[in-house]
Amino acid sequence: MEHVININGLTKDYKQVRALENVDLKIPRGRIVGLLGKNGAGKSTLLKCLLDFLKYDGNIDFFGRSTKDWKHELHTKVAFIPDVSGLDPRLTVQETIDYTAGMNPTWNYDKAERLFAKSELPCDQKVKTLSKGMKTKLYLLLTLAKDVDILLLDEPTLGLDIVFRKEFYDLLLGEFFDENKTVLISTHQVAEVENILQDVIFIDHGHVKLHKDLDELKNSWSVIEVPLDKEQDLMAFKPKTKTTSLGKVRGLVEGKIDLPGANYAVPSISDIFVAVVND
Amino acid sequence: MEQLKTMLLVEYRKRKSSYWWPVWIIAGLTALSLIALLIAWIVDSPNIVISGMDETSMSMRIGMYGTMFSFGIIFLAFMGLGAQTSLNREKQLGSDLFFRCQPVCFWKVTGVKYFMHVFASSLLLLGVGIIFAFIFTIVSAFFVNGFYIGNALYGTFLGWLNYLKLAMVFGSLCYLFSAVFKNNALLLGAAALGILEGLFAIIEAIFRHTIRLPDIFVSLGRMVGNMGLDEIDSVNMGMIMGDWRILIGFVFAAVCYVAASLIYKLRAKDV
Repeated sequence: MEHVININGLTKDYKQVRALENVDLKIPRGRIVGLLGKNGAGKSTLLKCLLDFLKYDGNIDFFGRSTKDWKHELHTKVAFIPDVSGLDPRLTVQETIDYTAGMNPTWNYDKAERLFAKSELPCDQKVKTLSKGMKTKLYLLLTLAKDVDILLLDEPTLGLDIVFRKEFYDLLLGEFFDENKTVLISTHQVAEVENILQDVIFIDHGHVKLHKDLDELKNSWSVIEVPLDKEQDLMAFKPKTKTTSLGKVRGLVEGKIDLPGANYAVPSISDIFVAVVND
Repeated sequence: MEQLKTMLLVEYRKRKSSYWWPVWIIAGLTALSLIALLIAWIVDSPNIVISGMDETSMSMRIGMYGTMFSFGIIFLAFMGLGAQTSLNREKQLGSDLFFRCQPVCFWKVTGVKYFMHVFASSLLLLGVGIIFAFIFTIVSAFFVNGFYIGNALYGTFLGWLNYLKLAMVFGSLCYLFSAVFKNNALLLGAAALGILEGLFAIIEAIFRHTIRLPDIFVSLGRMVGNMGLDEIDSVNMGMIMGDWRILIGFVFAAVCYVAASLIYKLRAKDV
């Protein structure tokens, strides 16, 4: 499997605070990878280090070439959508489109025309007058029209309503992703991206806790539900999390187990995340 | 080339209103002057005398040269006020990452920002000067015997060259202030120079004026070279541009640009 991003020994300090410590990661081509972590876990810092926006220790390669060597040319291959709607409010929508088109040699004019025609974005309006959802949509469309190989998203749907969130991920899957493209999505809203992810990385306090194929991960955990009187049987398997409701006890355990009289369910990514991060 | 055009255009669009403010002020002042002249003409035909000028054509040149100097001061004032925005505004607006994600060389980015901060308004000033030269010549034609547009335009051009020199030194300094100070760049930059000047004075006093430290503000003024204000009745191209001190101004501007760009680069990585 070809890895498009290789991170070795990445460490980042903000004065007295260590934001990332000795992070090693390999991101394969053609995958949608979720970078999941709590607020302040180091997700945004990791993405900004990837783009060489921050000083750091360690090595980061894209397509086998260090980010230091890529310099600005990296942005012809990699696009980034930050956690805030970071477009310039002084420009109009059309001026922002013209700017991005003029700056990017990989700009796909046909695709851009098709995407923006469908988008119903008000081209003559200033960006500052758009809603947060519209700004994010504009940012995504600009990024999609750039025809890059890797897309880095940092909490892209934060603060958006459910309609915009759905539209965002539909566009991402429909217009960007294929077997040659790679998407790395950072979010703490784990449930929101569960359906689209193929791989997950759990990050906590600057450490990578886990990096796995999502299906494989789900198969390696089980949710077991037993009546209250069988709680001790469940506890024998040392569940990582336990909840009680309506006379039943639910526990998340690592591996597949067989417990007579129990109900089984596939764990959600949120359940596994909480279990791994709190371990 | 496409990138350069795009960057110049977007820098202009981002700060469009600040470029045009001086133009509107000058237009307002011109309109007021024309109204005043019209009223004076209706009440009592004015008798315009430029003392010591034998030739009317020469007076047109000097008139436009002086006018361009005044207009230039207005443009420079707005350049100073805009010092804060040239390297800091995008960060304040949260759009810096969007611009940093474009595949463009860092020096091209700072070069365009520098050009737009220091010299873009000079193009507007030239345009305003040419329009004003025509207005000035047409209005003057009613009072003097002739239409001396050539001399008026020459005076405009000399005044514009003078502005370029001022903009190069003052604008480069403002650009450097913008890189060093995230807020109140002009104020803090001027205060820093004032403190340095005060320190020099104290050091000189301690050493009983046996060492000669430079006067910062006078030195900055010298880099502009001869402005021709002392010999205004014979102002010409040689006087305005034929001064070796302008070369020091060029070096100063280049040093300011490089220093500001490196500071900006360092600061950008310290998000």
